[in-house]
Amino acid sequence: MVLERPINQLNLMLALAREWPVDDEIRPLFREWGYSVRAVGRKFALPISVYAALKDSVPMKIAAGPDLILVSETKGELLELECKTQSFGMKAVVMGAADTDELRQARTLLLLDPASLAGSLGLHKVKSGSLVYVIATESVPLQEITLEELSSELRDHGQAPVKHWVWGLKNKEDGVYLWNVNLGEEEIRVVATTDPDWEPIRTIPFDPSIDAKDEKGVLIFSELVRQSVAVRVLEIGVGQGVLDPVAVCRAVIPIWDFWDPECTKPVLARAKEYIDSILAQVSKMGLRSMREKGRYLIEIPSDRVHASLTRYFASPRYWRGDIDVHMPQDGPPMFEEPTAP
Amino acid sequence: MDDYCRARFIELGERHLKRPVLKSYVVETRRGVGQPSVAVFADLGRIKQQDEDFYSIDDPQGPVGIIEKRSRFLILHTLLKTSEIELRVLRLTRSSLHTDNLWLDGDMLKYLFDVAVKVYGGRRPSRIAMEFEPYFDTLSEEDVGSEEMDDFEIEDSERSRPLNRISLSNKLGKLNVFVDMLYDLDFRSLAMVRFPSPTTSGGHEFYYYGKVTNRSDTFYAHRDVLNNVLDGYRALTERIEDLTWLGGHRDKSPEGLEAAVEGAPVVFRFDNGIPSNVYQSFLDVTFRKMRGPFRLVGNLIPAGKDRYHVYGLDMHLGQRVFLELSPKRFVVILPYGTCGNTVHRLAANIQRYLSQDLTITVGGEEYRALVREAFMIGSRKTD
Repeated sequence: MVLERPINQLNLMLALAREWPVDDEIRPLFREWGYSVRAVGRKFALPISVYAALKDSVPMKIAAGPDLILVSETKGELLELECKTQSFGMKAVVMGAADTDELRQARTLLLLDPASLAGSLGLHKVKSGSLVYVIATESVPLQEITLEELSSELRDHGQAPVKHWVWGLKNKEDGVYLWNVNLGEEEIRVVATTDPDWEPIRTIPFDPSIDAKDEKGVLIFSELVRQSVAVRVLEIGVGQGVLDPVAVCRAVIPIWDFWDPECTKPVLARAKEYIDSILAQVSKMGLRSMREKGRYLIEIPSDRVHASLTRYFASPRYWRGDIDVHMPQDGPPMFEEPTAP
Repeated sequence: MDDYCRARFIELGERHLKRPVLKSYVVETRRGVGQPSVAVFADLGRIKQQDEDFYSIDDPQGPVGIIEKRSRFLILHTLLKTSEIELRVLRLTRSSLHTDNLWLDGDMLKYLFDVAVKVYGGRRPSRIAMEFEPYFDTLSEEDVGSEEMDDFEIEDSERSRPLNRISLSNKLGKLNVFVDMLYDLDFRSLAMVRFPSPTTSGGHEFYYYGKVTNRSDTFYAHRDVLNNVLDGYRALTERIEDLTWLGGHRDKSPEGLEAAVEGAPVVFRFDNGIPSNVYQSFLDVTFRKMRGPFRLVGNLIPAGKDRYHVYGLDMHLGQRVFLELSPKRFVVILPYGTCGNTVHRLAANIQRYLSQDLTITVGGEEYRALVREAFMIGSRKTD
């Protein structure tokens, strides 16, 4: 399961950068190596002279960024981690395409200078780095060939591409392993589990920029939006207040501010659409709302309306995602008040 | 209040209490909400400011008590009987998303007990209570659907569900022997500890849900001990927030991205595992039926065998919490801004309802050690 989805790979990599108890099932490998997370999902522009010189001859992007940047300030090194389901070299071979989106992104990543990338993160002591693709183990050889070909293509154009590595992720009977790792043992167990369906908990719940078909992510996103709306409306109490959909998205997606507008726009639209449908339901109970400058002005006119909203937002059905106020409720509201000390 | 406490102390000595002992209920607000508002107690009576941080509260029958304001805490000192006031206070704190009662989990109460033994060398009398409620072990289908099912029962006489309770009074030295034996038997869920008064006779009883009763002869000693414990509690909460939000790196920007992705996870490890029926009942009641004492909401998302992820809310303070649940281990991720007292509350409730045989860690640090470190402030003052 972990190997199938880039969003799971990313969250596994993030887990390896957290501090876990000594004998936990997760081995905090990056911490052991002295690396910590310094950027997630950020994009960096190529030097404009490089882009201008190459753009007509080599398909590439003006800006790109790895999924994750890890930095060791003591070693003065950074690792740019990019998670992929499978090698995109296969697609290029089969389709004969030299300019798939992934290939263009890969060329751009190979051209980003680690020192200047570190400089833009304010890490001036970091002078070197590598680009690391994290991928299912069976795709490693093809991905290595692909990256080598791209690197020599760039060298032919007078550029000095960054060092690259391809790490394989694989499930074995006793855990999840990283394979072909350049920094330590060749094969390292990073999760001790006998469960083939093991999945990491998601710190980044949803990221359509790396995993567009992530249905579970959409479900989690919707749930988090639903929670935010309920808490915000209940916090307003009787009176007026503001519900800001951007603030909702920012609370739900920790890396919201680093996403491209091409990524935030559809997600924000999705959040607004969902918030609209929830507010349309609660307007039947007397809540008034109005869109103004992209935000919602909310008015809860009376204690009675607030009490109805509290009941609605406290119903298990709402938390499960059935937001229709006229749906029959299954049982009493949750967490009834204490009755007898 | 001081005179009142003196009179009650004499009555306690004569074993004939004419009026209730003074008790304090501590209410906590979440970080970032600002100074707590005394209005949270408005339903108890008319509130009138008496001093910068003190307010009186009266109802038509007479005085209800005094409210003291202290950074993240509000303390209601009251002379009313438990039966007259406790449920009303708990209801008020439970109905607000801004306030919660204080949660003193078993590790904190054990620390208070250990300090008392160390400081008083076993001579002073004390009292402890240990309580474990096999709530999820005994729950019938009928209970789960019942409107009467509450999440906060305290007095034995009115209980409708079983409670394993041990209450012991003796000199601290002898009590310590009993406590060690009980710990060896995995009975560890301390629910109350009486801390001897450092400056006078008697003591101060700390209950896990934030009630503190004064069984000494002065109000001042009561306030001093309570304030010392609150200093420790606050230091612990803030230390947990530093670790879970920032991964322990104070030099990083508190709003930074690292805060979001690198904070330390809190791990509750059950060495012997939670029994399967208890685990299933916990999942069913808490997350599918959204009831019971934990007040957590969120959908269970399968993440392996017997393992679930929940991207949910802790309804005590309406705050976001990410959970990984399995019979051997719960992992809790506190997103930036979620109050550190979520950990105390979960610890107290897990120890009381699920398992007493657990080790809690925050990142690479044992929770017990963090408690010790944070409460040194309080113990130094009481030494």
